[in-house]
Amino acid sequence: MLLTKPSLCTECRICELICAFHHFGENNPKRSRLWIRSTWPESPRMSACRGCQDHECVSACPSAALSFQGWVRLDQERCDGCGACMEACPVDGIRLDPVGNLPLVCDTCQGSFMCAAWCPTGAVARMAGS
Amino acid sequence: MTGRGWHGYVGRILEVDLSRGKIQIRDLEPSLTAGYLGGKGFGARLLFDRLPPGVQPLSEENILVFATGPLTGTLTPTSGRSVVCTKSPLTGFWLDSNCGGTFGPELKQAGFDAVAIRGRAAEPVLLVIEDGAAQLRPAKGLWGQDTFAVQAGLKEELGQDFKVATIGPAGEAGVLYSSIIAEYRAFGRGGAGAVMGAKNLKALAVRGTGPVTVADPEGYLRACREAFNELAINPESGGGRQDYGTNQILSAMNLTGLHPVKNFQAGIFAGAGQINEETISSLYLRHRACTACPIYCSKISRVKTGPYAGAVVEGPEYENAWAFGAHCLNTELGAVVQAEYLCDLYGLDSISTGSTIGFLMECFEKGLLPESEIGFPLPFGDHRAMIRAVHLIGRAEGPGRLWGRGVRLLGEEIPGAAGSAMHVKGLELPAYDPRGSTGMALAYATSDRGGCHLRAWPIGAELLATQNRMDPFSPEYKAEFVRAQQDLFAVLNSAVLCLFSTPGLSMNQVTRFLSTVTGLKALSSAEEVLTIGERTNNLVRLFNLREGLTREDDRLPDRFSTEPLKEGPLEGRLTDLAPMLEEYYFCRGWDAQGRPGEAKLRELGLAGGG
Repeated sequence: MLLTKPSLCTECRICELICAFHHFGENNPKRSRLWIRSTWPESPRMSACRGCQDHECVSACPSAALSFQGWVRLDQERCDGCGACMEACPVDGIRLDPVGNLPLVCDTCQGSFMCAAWCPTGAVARMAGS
Repeated sequence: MTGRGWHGYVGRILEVDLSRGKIQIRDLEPSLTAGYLGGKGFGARLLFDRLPPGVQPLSEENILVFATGPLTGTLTPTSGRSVVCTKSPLTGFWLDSNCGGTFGPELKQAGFDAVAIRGRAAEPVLLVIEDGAAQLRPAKGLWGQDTFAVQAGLKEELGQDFKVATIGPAGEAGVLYSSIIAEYRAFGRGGAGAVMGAKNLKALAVRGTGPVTVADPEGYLRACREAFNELAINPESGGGRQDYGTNQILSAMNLTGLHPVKNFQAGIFAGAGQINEETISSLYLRHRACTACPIYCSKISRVKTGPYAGAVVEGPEYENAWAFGAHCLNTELGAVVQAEYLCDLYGLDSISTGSTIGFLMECFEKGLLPESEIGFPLPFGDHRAMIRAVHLIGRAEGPGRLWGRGVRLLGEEIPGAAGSAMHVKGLELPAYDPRGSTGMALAYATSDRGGCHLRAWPIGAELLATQNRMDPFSPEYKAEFVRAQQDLFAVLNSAVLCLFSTPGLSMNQVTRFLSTVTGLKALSSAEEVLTIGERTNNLVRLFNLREGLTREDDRLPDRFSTEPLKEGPLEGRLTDLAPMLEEYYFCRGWDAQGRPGEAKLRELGLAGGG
């Protein structure tokens, strides 16, 4: 999963852009699974799924649309976009896609970690062992 | 795929008439994209077509265009910029001013390539743009607030993900060099903030979730990866600029004598030990980048000790370190940070503000401006007086009301002061002494918006390049160099890319971005794309000629040709502009009076005004 270091983050949003491009084939940082919120002049807040042990999002889902196999997986057929997973997440790591309203959760790009590969400063990295 | 099959562009222009409170959405015309690209090019075409000559810049007839380019909002490195174009109240000529950060990409995601604003609202208003729609809202409560309060307040009210561009008290009061502040960065030069103020438009708040699509995803992504790699290994974009920001060049400019001292009167800055890239970078808390930029030249600084301890600013940039440093003979680094913070707070262009204060200090020193008219002593080197002057200008208070008109008008107003007014076409000069750079001399004189270092920057080739360096004192080749770079920069200001992409990215790479993103055939050859830059510069020249510009306006302050410095690296040097200017006109295909010739206009498709 992702390791983030806000003190290294310059807010360039290259991670958001490459994430959305990789998943949706368009430039649209509002659809990224890792997102940056500016708290000028302080370092920004960086949000993403941490792949935590408890999988509270999975338990919270009323339609059993989420499962965890290496990363949180979404069954789009079952999901109705209720947002319960988002509210259950203890690290603010899930948000709803403005297009279609389904949850956006980091899938590590199926292990290719595009954000970590493109981040110019190392503010986003691949967690050891993931 | 966005509106009408566009890629790169989103295909819509927002038209706002503040006098009638009317908002219209218009389709983007294909001729505009192939002929003018975006950004500055869009602004040039729209203003040339719509603005009758002789309009008072602060009247309701003036038009303000916020424009993005086809690369804005994409992953293309350094593409997080947008442009504002209008007729400048400071110069009376063309103005385009560029801002980084996040505002441009947000506007694009909100569904608009550009916003054209005309008229004047009866009461202060706010323009809210959200996902393809826009509305005007009363903003009486915001009037009088500083830019930080407006940005924070509107996010609180509308949502934290709104991006805000606002004027401060300076723009409201009509300070002729007031800026527009967007997300702690600035559309700085030339007074676009005063145009907004005169329109009773306090701010724009923008939010969007729309996509910017690309025509050739694979080619585009490959171009991005290559460009990021290139910028990372290039010493100018990947090394010192990341560590020091734009202050990277400060010591080099001091050592070569290019860093002007005491309003361009002295050759050596005694405070170079106090204000340089090492001392400034010791204040840096963190780096900050514009959208999609790996260079992150922006810095957040905090003063740690001394009378300004605690002052925080996004900056200070090289130009501010000069304007509030060597220019005013100030050696108190904290005062530089405080002055730039105040410029952002009030919404002032920090170059023109510092430049004007240095001019006033010279007038005070020479006895042209008595203490009784200032209200306090204003000698060179007095940082407290300098800060006091920034407050007065920002609030348009007391003598600050007059000082906010810039050095050209002050030079005419104060008897004997005309020779101390360091400007071109009314725009205060930035931080390079043209006596040490013939290229910069020509670039200043021929810049479309007046005294500016961002329409061509020969300093790099003359003083900083490690290879193929040009002689900074020779006029040879400068005319063609400046012409070519102006056309390149016009392309970048239209694409819109940052000028800091130039050390790493070639014109062929820029073209590859334009063609893979837009899929437009017209943007697939570097030569064609450079012709768009040339066309834009010629159209802007026609705009300026229509506003009454003559050859006499393509000039430098007399100081550079008549007052040699008595010390330092540039001791005894003077500038001889005339032969370079003549050659420049020739290179441009313009006549001896600086008017584009018929053949050139036909070649560019601009015959009869285009």
